[in-house]
Amino acid sequence: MTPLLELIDASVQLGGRAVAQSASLRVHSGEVVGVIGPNGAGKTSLIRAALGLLPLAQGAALLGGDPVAGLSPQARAARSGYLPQGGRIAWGIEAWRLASLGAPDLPAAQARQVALVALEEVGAAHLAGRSVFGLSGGEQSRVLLARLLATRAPLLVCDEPVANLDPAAQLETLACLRGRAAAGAGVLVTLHDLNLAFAACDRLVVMQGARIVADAPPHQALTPQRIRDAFGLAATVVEGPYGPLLALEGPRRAHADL
Amino acid sequence: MKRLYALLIVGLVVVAAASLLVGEATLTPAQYLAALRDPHSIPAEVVWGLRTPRFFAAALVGAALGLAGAVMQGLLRNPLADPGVLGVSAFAGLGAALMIVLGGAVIPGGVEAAALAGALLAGGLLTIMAARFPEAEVLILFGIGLSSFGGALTALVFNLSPNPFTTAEVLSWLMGSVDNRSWTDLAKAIGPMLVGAGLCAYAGRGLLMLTLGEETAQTSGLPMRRLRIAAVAGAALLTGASVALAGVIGFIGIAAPHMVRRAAGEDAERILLPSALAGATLLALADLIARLIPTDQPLRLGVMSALLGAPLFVLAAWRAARSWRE
Repeated sequence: MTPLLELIDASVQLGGRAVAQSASLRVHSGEVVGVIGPNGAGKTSLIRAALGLLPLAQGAALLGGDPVAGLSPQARAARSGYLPQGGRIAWGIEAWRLASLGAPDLPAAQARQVALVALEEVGAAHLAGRSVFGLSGGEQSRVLLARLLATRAPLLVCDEPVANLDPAAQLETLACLRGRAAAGAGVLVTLHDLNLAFAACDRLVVMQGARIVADAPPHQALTPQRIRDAFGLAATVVEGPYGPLLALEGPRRAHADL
Repeated sequence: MKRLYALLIVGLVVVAAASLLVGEATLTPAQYLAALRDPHSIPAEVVWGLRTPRFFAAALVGAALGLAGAVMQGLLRNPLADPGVLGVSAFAGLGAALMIVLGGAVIPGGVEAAALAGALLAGGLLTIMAARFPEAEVLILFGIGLSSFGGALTALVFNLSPNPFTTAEVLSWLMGSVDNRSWTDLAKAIGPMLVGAGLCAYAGRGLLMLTLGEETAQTSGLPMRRLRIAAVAGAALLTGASVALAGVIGFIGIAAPHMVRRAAGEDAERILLPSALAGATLLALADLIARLIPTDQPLRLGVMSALLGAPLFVLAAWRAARSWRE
């Protein structure tokens, strides 16, 4: 089966600096792939390059088997939906109208219907008629997620979708994305919470210093050794009541033993 | 939305009626009747030949500037953007100033053409920037630079101007007015304005999509590059034609969208037509007030609109600053 998204030996330069080097990555239908790594490791650049928002210095970026650079805006949108990091909303339009912007290909009435269904899916149906400027940060995030779902794209790419959310909302967001994957979508998501990534993703891509250092199922990708190398944290896998958990400990300070 | 349109249209009709009834010459009811009956009478000449085209000039320029302002604001996602801020007006004024100093004022339509060319030059530069750099901040900074440069070049024109009469003529143009505009003047402006309005209407859905920011809009499936270019080119045409018809008039592009934003649901596409209607009413009203205030020298419309508009700009800035802090 053709992967929904494929990066082949891709390198990206930003301001004369390599932000991604020889990165290869595939996302297939039905799986949730998490991208993790410390700040500045190149997660966002990798995603943007995969969507054709950053030019490649080397390698190839394919969406549905075709080079993304050659796709028309419509064709790219039909193959992928993108939720950028920390999306700032410019005007205080109603939540349902914002969500309906995910479906500019549909007539207005149908787009509204799709938006209302998406708002329901993210648990924000009650916010539909409210101005997005009257919503809390977490509620805005939900509405933006509904906009992404309204694209109905087979590949959903989310850059830190849970950054401003409380723990329950974080789990709900990942559950939403998992639901879409179960329905056949492919999901590529960057996360900072290692435990969330560990629990919610089928596969984890670990980035460190602009390179992909691991691409495997969570328990293979996040070994204590790799967590120490990439994040500088000591980690132990603990069997929790709902599955394995990572117990993390901060870096030992040099003076701690003095 | 329906109530907003009803209100705007009633407002415009009231201002239109007042504009036809009020002026330097005080006419009696009998004379108004004569104006209706006999198209060759003197009252008819006053009402239909002077006041009516003057009202339409103010309303057209107001509508064009209101629409251009709403488009620029949607494009830059900033309620304080307008053709003045982005340097389009400055270059249109520069074009006119240059033409007057070079003696082109004797050529019929020369000054107007130069104003339009100036606006299109600034619009062209902005369009190239808009296509290369999608970030709104880049365009704002570039526009501010363009505006300062246009102002500096106009000052240079003043500096090198051969005699005080030319200087006075340029200054008079830059202050903006719809005094003594004929139907012919109006006819010359309407073409570029219609093309500009068409481009803006086409760009509308792109402006709405930009509510979500550059990156989301870019991946939304809309041809954002084309829509962005249409928005800048449309706003430049509207501004250029406005300056050609009435000189440099500021703040309508900020004030008009500000007035209707809430009623239009803050929707960057649906705000376009109400902004044009509000701009028409505002500028026609400003012209009416300028005519009603008795001064030794006739009050210039550009001065009047700036006096009314600048405080509104400060109010808009204050509101925007408060909403950003939340």
